Amino acid sequence: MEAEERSSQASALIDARGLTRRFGDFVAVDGIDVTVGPGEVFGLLGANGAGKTTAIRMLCGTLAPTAGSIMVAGQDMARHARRARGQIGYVAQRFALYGDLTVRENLRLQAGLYGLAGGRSRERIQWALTHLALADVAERMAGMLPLGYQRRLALAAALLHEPKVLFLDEPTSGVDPMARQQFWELIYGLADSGIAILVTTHYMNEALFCDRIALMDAGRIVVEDDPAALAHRSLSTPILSLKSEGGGTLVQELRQWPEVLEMIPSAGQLRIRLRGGCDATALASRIRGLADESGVAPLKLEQVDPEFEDVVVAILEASQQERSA
Amino acid sequence: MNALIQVNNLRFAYGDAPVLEDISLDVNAGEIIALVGADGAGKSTLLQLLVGQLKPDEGELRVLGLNPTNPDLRSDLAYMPQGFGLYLDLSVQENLAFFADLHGMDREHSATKIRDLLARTGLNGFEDRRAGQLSGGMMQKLALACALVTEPKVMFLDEPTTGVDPVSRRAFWRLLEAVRNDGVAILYATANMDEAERCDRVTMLDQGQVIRQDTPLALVAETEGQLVSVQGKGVRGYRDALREFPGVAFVFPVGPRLNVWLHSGIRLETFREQLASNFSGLEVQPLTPTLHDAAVRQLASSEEAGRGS
Repeated sequence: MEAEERSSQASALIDARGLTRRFGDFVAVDGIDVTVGPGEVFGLLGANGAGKTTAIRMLCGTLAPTAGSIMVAGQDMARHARRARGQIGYVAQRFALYGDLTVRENLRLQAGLYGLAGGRSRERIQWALTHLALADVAERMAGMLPLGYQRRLALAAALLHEPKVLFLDEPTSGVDPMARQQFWELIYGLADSGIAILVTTHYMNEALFCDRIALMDAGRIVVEDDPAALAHRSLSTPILSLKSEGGGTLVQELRQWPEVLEMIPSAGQLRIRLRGGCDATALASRIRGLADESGVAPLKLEQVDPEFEDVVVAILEASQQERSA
Repeated sequence: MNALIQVNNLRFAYGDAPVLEDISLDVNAGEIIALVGADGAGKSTLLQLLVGQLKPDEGELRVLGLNPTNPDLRSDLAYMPQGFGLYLDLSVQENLAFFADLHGMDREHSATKIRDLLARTGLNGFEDRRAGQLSGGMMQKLALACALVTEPKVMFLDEPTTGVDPVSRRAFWRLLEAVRNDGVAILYATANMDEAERCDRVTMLDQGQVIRQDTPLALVAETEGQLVSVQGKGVRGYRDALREFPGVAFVFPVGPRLNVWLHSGIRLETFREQLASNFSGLEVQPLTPTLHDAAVRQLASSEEAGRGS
């Protein structure tokens, strides 16, 4: 087991240990470990100000850590920053494209910045146009394309120098659900080719696309797990699922109950998130009683597993409360 | 009862380029209506038309029964544009007071209202902090508080939770639901289906046109076929094989699982048995589709139909 763990760490393409960054007295990132293997999609989540951006800047080599080590594709970021950075592709949330250049011209410019020339440059641009489904729009002005295309172009530009590690900052915010699905198919294709991918996001339906995620709060990683396992954690704030016909007044009433933290419509049910320490069974029978009184039927009411976002929110809320206590 | 926000057969174009075509929708008191679509679908333009910043080429717009450019509407209508529109150099208190003054509220009334809003949004204690120094989540709460100073009857929110973390987003929705319960009519533009699912009805825009309009429940229920998840070691590698598998309409990889839409009429048990006799170690579970799942399914089939024609 230990030997296996060591070998998987040895082959990790991103391997950061005890990564720390202080700004004066403020500790933005507090001793985090991040390892991402080839073909793995790793998600970094957390509140604004939790330290995600600072962590990414250090991992990309644009900000020096106060303490800790970073290895990228076997290169030590502290000693061989240039070589390490050469292994990294980065797509920022507000990516920089030249709107009045064509898709091909944007790629040519980017290839030049990476020092690719001649046949090699042409070959990589052709690869990018084909693999990111941009061939049909190669001669179109980048600024005139829908956002989904622009994001693919930004991704294409970040892949020209064949990086082994890819950083994506909220890669699909603002696109429609289908464009998001298609973008992720491309990401999985890249992962299949052995690239290690690190994604930061605020959106739970984007985080679900990751193989493994870490939740950050106040500079630390508070939880790290795969999304499915995370969704099966038990919560101190139980959740009841309610399905009823014409239960409008019932809902209005429930909102006033002190035990009810919030009510979230989801997939045709109403998920009732209860305050920590509530007896869900007792509350369920009180709700049934209320339904009988107001003549609401048929009523389906049961305690359910939390959803992924419930767990994420509960963990982050608990961590924030612990700090302010 | 008349809807507080009414849009009938609206058309708007920049020059010859149509931005919105034949849009109709209405929002009643106490309703949150989601305006869903990708960037560039026309969501922001529709909101700008409804707050009187743009004029329609055709069709009718009514807010509280009046034309949106009518100055009488000013204090009854609140608009939260993208990026919030706060004064970053002013403090929290000054931003709120400025909005109150702008709408000619008397000082005594506005002072009470501002105190109440600071408490409701959890911004008390931060009155003197400059807006530019707030976290994303707090900035968003301040923008909402500014929008609520005049006690509006209708609200237009343009992607208010962009860049805001999940904890702050939930807190924002708790506030918004309280506002809805006070009877305010809210039109909420978002690209995010999770949020659309919290709304009473959803209007889906695509390239300036309404493609679907219904309750989230109905939109999901109308979706054809059954959604199942397929899990197992290395399951992502099976995605292309499953696309060719009998009974399968669509396969969408989502992290460590595949979301598989079966054609209608295909029984789960049959699919499970056939899968087991072809591949080992794959587990099939029925999934309740979310609005996001339903939207992906819908867009995928319209795309397929588009390619076929």
